[in-house]
Amino acid sequence: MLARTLGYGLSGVNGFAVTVEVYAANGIPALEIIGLPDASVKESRDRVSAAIVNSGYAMPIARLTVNLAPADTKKAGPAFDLPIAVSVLMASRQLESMDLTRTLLLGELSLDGSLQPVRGALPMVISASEQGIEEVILPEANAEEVACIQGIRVYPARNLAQVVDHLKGKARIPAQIQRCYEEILSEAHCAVDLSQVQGQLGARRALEVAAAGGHNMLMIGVPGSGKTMLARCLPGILPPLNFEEALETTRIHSIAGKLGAGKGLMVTRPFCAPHHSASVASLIGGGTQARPGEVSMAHNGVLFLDELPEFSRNALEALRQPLEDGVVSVTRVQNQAQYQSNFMLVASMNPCPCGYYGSKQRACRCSQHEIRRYLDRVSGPLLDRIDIQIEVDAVPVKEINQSRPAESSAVVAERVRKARELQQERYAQDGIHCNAQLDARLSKRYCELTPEATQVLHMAVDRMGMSMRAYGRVLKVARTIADLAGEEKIATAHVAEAIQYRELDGKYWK
Amino acid sequence: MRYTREDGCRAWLTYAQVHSDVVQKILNDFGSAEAVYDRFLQDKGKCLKPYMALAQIEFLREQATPEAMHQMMLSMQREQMGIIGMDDARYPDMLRSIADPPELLFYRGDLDCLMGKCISIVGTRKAAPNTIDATYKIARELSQAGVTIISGLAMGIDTAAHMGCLEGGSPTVALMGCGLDIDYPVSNHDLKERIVAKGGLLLSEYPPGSPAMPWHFPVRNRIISGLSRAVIMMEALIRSGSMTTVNHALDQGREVYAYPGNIGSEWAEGAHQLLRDGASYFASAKDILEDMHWDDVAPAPSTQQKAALPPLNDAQRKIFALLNQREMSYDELADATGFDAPTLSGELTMLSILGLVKSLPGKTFGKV
Repeated sequence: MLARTLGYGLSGVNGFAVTVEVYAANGIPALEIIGLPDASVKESRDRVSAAIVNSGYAMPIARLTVNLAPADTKKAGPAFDLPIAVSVLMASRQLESMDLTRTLLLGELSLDGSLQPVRGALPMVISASEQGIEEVILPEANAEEVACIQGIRVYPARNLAQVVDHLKGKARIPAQIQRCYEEILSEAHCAVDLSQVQGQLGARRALEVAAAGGHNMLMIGVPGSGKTMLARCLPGILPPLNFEEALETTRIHSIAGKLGAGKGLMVTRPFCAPHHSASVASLIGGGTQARPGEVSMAHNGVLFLDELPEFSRNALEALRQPLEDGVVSVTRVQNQAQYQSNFMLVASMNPCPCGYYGSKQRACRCSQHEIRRYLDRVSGPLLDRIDIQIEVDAVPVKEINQSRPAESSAVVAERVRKARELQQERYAQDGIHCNAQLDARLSKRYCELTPEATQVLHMAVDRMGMSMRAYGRVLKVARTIADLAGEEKIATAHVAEAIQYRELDGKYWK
Repeated sequence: MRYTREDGCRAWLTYAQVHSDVVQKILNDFGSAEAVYDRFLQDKGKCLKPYMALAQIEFLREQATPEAMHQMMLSMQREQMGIIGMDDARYPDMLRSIADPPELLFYRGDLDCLMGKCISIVGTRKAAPNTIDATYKIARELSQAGVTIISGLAMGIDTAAHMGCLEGGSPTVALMGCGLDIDYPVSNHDLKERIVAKGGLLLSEYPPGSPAMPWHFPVRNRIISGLSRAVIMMEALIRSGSMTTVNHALDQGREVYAYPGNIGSEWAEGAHQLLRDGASYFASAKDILEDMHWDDVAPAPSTQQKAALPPLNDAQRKIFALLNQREMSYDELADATGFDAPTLSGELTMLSILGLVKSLPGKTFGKV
């Protein structure tokens, strides 16, 4: 007897249909899986037989062959447990034969027959929906994740017995009610609020400007000056993810298995802070399965590199391409995948090896040579991609209690949102969406300075030793500052403020 | 540069690295360096056994081959090095009068610098940013008053002293602890070239090709103090090379000035100990010039620099008034002025463009 069900596999950010066929033949009882299964798929055999028996059904006394088609593509992961189990039940006539080619079955079985969440449910369901599959049965823990997908009915199941009853029509599982994106969005909140940051007036403003223009940012400061906390506030002041962005980001997290059981679509921007011992593969993506790396996990969000000079040179250089293109191609012998990686880079570092150069609390005794060598670990080309470079000073303890009440993230986020809207409108024709992406040609067109502002900028180049490269960066940041002020032309005040965000050029990288 | 055979032989003799008294005795006994060299070649060094250890004779033997001598002369030629012995009229009298003057000095640049008013500035290589600034300023002011600054071409205080002097317009003199053809520290190669180009002088008692050895520096320090009328100690630990310079200066009867640092910082202890022991205090170049009775020579050019302030707006005037009193961090400024970040950042930029305010490490600002 032959039975056929439908499962899905993962290739990069897309799912592909896998037909699961089971043939029960006479012979010595056995269960054989063919069709390039990897170890986790092969082990399915034991999970499936235990789950069937423990769900009150019998493992047939027959020689079972499970074929996963297409036979020439590698299959990985335990998501095939459910379609295999259902096929086995059909092949052994414990479940009447029916057409399940338009019903996607996803799920890992545990030995007692309950369904466990699987990695990559969202991209698989999206692909299935695009390919005209009408319904999907998946573990309850994955249901929230796919709640927003249009055009497919979702049946969240708790265990194998429930799935069989549903298919038999004995006890139908109620289809999940589709949720609209706005509803999920309203539940979003960021863990760290800007109002919790004391003092740091300059750094807060720089953060706002960075968020408003999508500029990458570098913070230099003594240990304990609050660099990490400032960075963590960033997702909260960036504009909320729109539906497409949320899907893109959740998709990547789902593939990486980082979403967590029961978690729905990601509505807050991701904040990834890899440790500085991170390898190139863990940052960019890799492994035999060509899994996404941190740059893709931070897609549409923030990649925070604390202690920038401590990262390996190779890892930092590898960031250049994703920073430029917003996408990485991860190529391995067996697999290759393209992952989006459109992130804001926020880096922090100490000013010198001991960390206290320029501190008022503690004297630094690093020699000029040691400082030089420490700073040189960050290459010029990488620095070149960082528009805003600021210093962060530690806030004295007495000031922590008595400084002015700080603005909350929501207030800042509102200003940022308005500035971003202006930019999106302005760049609608140019294929970019924020000031950070302006190239030389576009900035000539859009960064128009008043005559006085031009004069100030030229004086800064003359007197403050600013490089021509810094000049271009200042223009872009000034554009953002003008956008925050809601002004069409860039005025003197905007340029003057923007120049403050290049102060490190002269001080550290001369 | 043309060299006599005697020059070459004298340079050769320095490879033995013996005390100048010994060199003088050898020269007296043999009559000339040439004679020493010729005898040395004949009897394979036996003639020098009464004067020095076998290891030192071995140094000379390695250097005595025609190839080695040729190489030495080539590098001297390439670097435009001159040689000046104690018997030379151009040898500075100040130096001749110290306890153990070097018998031979290699130089590059203009020897006349040493004829002027010379003051040396010494201090640690790991100086605090503030002290570096102060060093630069004092060197510049002294230089503007026509004083030649002598220092050791090391990083930190030394570099700041040389740079300040170059900025002020007077030539500066660098005493090196290695051969003049060696770049030590490598990062000061450009500074070395600038010193020569601006009419300054490089000096060393070590022959071409000698690497910088740790024990060279304390020995060289006696020349730094020996050449100058006064020594200014900026910042150093009590046990440090800079303090050896000061000790030499005291032995040689030179003036000593010490720059007061932070109480409680061990790096200021060197200077504080000197002040306790009677070194002169100074706050500006004027103090030193008056003290040395040099104040009549050059008009203080700083008066003409203090032109009227450029027109400032209210906000700028408020910020400048605060910074005129002391250095302040960004947050302190924001609190004191009540300005928001965009205004404050903008005005600070305008003030630095006008050359009134500068930004310091640690998000701090101060007046220029």
